[in-house]
Amino acid sequence: MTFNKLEKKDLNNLFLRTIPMEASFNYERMMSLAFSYSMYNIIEKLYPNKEDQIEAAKRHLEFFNCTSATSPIVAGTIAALEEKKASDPTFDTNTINSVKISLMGPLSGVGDSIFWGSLKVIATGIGIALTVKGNILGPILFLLLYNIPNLLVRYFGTFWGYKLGTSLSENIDHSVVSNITFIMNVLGTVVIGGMVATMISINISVGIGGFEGETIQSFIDSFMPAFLPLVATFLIRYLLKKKVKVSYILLSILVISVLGAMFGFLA
Amino acid sequence: MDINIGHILAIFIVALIANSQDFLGASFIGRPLVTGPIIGLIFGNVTQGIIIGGQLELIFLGLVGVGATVPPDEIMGGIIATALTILSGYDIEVALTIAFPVATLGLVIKNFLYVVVFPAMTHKADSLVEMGEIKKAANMHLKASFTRIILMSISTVLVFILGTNTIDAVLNIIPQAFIDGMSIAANILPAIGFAMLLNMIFKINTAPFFLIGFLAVAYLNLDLVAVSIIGVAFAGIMYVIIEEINSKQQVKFDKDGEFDDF
Repeated sequence: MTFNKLEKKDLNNLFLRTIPMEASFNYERMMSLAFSYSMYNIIEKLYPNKEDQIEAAKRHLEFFNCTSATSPIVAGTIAALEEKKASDPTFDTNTINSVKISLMGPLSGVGDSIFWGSLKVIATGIGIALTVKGNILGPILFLLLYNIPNLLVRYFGTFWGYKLGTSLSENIDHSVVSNITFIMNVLGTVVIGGMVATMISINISVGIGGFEGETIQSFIDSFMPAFLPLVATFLIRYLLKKKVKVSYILLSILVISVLGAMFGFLA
Repeated sequence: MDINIGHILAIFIVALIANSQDFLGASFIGRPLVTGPIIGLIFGNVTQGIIIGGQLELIFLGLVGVGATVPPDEIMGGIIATALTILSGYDIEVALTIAFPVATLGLVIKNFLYVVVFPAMTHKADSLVEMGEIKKAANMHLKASFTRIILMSISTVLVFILGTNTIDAVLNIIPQAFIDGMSIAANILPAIGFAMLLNMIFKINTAPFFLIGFLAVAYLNLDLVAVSIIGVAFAGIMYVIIEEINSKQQVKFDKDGEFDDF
């Protein structure tokens, strides 16, 4: 079977398409629109068949969140795995999903601490120090100090990712382990478990009669912190399995939140 | 203080470029540090623009989003505060008091996009993919991005024309429950994204691993990097176990072994 291999120009295009990564951020699936936008050309090139294109596009409209500067690494890796899938239809797409999820956590953590935590603070510090004297070099140095590393990591990250993805898929090829997908799922599932406890927060601010300063939330927290995010996630998963439209779920959350703020039972 | 059409046009163009900062590689071109001198140049006092920009940057540097919450909008706050301060000949202190309510209004608008408009556009992209309109679905990202850039720029111009007194009035018209409700929803909505991810990869035989990741954060307060490393450790353990099982079934795998050698 012949298939289109990805070339350097495809990866250059992927790099360009990851530049607007943060511009359509939202709270439901964070950067999923941006990720699906960045993968478009890759999908179109790799899959001649419409059905396969639809499957791949669906995969990349799922939740995605990563530091903007390090997300091209994820995109490069996924491009290599999509290439693998195109050449080998028996390749389990769950591996693609799991690898994507597994990379988000560490790359966000490292990316945030390097770009937001260090680089931006250093660049701003130098910039502000110069502006106090009215020096125009302040803003210019600020932009250069931040954006030169930003662009370099984005550009080379796309290619690092692609290399990583290629070596991953080659190992999957030569491994006697038929359960590599399961192993990647293990990693992805651990990360999702962590994200559920990190990124969702629900706070019931109703007091408990007779207990001064105690709320239902402090009671829940005392036996299991992040219990409500866990319940919410699995409740929504159940509703999705029951084919409830995601728009209705979104709307219900909005209504409950506004009512919660209005009557003071959520904070 | 007189505002002419040239000022309005200039503010709009600066706002368009500044609000493109996330579209242009999260490059921070919209920070007060950068917009300050440009606004200063337009309104005839570069030095003051640079100084005000630097002061505002200090304020916004401390306002970092905690968890999923987004900090007040430094782009709108920076542009308006610098422009009004230079135009009116106020002191720098005034710029600081203008910046905060403006940035808060910017945040309310942005939250509305993040909580209502963009999720709705994502659902639209879902159904476009379903219909085979892959390209249109991918370009939904551009639509969303430009919606944000244009809406934020128009809002900036409106605030500039109407002046800061009206900002408090506007913030008073929007019910507090709506503003608070948006931030509450912002913290719950990621649950939808995770539920969808779980639908893809969660199986009952990986449930214990979900719990490990969850508990590591909930009880041990580990960050996501640590959780990922724990995940790698467990994936490694599972790899070793599966290898072990496979090597005991060597007879069965001998056939596959041949393929491995070339």
